[in-house]
Amino acid sequence: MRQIVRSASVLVLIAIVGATAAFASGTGEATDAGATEVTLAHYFVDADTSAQAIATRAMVDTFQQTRPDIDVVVDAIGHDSYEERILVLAAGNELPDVFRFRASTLGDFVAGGLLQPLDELLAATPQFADNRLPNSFRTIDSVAWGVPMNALSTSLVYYNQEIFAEVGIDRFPETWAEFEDAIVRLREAGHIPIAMGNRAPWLGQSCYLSTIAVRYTGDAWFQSILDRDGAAFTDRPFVAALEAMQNLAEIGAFNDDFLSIDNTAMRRLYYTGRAAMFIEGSWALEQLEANAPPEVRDATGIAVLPAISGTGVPQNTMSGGPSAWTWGISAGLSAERLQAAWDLMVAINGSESANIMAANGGVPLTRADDFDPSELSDRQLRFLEILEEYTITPIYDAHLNAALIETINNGIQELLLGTVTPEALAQTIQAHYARL
Amino acid sequence: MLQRPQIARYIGLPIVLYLFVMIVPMVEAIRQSLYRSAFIGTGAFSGLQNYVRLASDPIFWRSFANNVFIVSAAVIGQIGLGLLLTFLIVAKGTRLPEVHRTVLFFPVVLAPVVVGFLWQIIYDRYVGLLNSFLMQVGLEQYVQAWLSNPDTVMIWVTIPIIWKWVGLYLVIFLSAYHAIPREILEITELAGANAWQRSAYVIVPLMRNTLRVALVLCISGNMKIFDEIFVMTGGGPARASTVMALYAYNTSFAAFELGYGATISVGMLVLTLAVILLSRRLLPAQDSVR
Repeated sequence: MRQIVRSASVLVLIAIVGATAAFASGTGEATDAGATEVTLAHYFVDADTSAQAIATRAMVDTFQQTRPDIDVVVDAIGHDSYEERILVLAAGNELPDVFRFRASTLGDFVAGGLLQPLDELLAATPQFADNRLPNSFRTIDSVAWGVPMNALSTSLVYYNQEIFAEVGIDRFPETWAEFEDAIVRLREAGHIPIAMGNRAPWLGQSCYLSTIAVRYTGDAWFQSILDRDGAAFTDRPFVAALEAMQNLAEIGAFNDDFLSIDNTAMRRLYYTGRAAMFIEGSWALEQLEANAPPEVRDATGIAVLPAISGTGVPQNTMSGGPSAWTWGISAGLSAERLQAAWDLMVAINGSESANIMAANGGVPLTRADDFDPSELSDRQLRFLEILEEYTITPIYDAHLNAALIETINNGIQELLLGTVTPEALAQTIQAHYARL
Repeated sequence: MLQRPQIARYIGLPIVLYLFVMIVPMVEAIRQSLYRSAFIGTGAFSGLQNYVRLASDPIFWRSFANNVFIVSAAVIGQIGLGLLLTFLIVAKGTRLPEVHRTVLFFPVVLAPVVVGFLWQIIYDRYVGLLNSFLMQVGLEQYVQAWLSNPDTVMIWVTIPIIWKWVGLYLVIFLSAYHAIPREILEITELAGANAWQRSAYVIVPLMRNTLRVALVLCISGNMKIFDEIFVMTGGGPARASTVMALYAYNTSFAAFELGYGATISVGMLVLTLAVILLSRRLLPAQDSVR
């Protein structure tokens, strides 16, 4: 009996150690059939109906059929858990072969030696490289490390034309003064002028500040911040941008629970007709098409924040660009596995994928050569026009250090609450920036 | 009598498991708290710099103050109210004590995330139960965005926490009460003690050790509170309802400062132990039970 107990406990121990080892090492190098195994991680779960998700899933299926020599092991989990998971895997140096990551962590990933540089691979696949739009890779010192899939705007105004007409406004305001005037009129008529959900505080920064600030500071100022070339957050134009944001809150632009609801609840205020506008990125357009009640959806117009006069910098700008999420390949793969991973990367981001995305209202960063625009709604077509008309400027949280972004995000909450002055917030941000 | 090798075999496996799930992660967290940047092994060793930063980090101390607020409210609301409810339920005139007990215990079995969502709906500005109720009874002037005011948000996030856990303490106290020998209670009754005197001078002193355990549970549970607040406010507005665990989480997974996030966790551990030790000083063990 004792013998059995001993053997059993030894077996259990072996099982535990074995399981730990299996977790630690991830999946094996190659399968029995001789096919090269490639692990792929993303957050495009089946419920995700964004253009990127549809294209990725379709292309992985196609790839698995056309390339029997490669065995793709897909690991898809929901967006929020995914972000943590990738970080934990990165910390343990256990990243999947091909995976998505947030561009603001690119510097840390590269510094940690976790990413494969892509330049040589790109040089070896010229037809893929040539089909990409200009500046559509994530680079550090002009070495490409990441492949973003789509372009986006983070700052579109969605407005209900019927509510606007009701208070006597027949077109979207063209100047900031008109915009503020419209807000006051909407408020007086009993509407929530702008539905805002800044509980998760990236919204105020990504969708508001990124566009409002560049209208005051100009594009060169932000580049100077990135290059540490003399610009400071305490510079007058940036402070003026913070003042403009605070003023929106002061004239009653937002629903009074804007600090305790998220962007989903915010859209609900708009969908139910309580709010006349909401400001969010182009991803909200896909959601609007799918989820808004038809009467609200059809009354919706798409616009960009109006021009601010007297700032001396171009006003036809809008924050956006390559998505903040990008595909990458982990470092240290064997030559054979690296080639397989790259082939998969090219398939997911190639022209065929671009066509699928374009047909679903997305804006691919690889040229789409074969899709039918008649499938798109007026709003989606208007968005494509806007992309042509406006100069795209950087999104703050796609470029600045993540800890600094936390400071900006939380600072904007206080700014909108009125518990901090624009000058004081600018100083806090500058102090954090200086100590990085 | 067991022999040494036998003892080793019996407790070996639990010790190995304990090492893996408790000690190793804790040591790892302490090790990581000594590094500067985001990823283990990639950051520069920074010695105690993170701890220096922690000591003068106003957000950390504000989070700690929020934890202390919740703990104080919970000691009154969970233990105090739990005790009061215990006396009400065991009181002579109370009908259907089992029903009361079950109803009060019910929130304990709900997942914290569910509790968070539930109360988020109650507090909702436009469709919430609370505001609808106020409108119905003509108190429109009190209708507000409950979770959006940084000055009062801590009160509103603490109420669900008390509501969720009071049933647990009720059940603990009920079983402690039933463990008190009947004769003692009968004698005090015969001696003419009223309900208040019996509770204050006989029952509570006899439940002292249970109360001490409840106090430790209450403090440690509320010092590491996370889920309900994460769901209800995410720590906002403007960090007004951020507690230590939430700050550690945001630092690690939003600001990507894994080293400093680990430092906050270690600080949390130390402060929690300190508060528990303090509470045990204030309420020393009974030297001789009966």
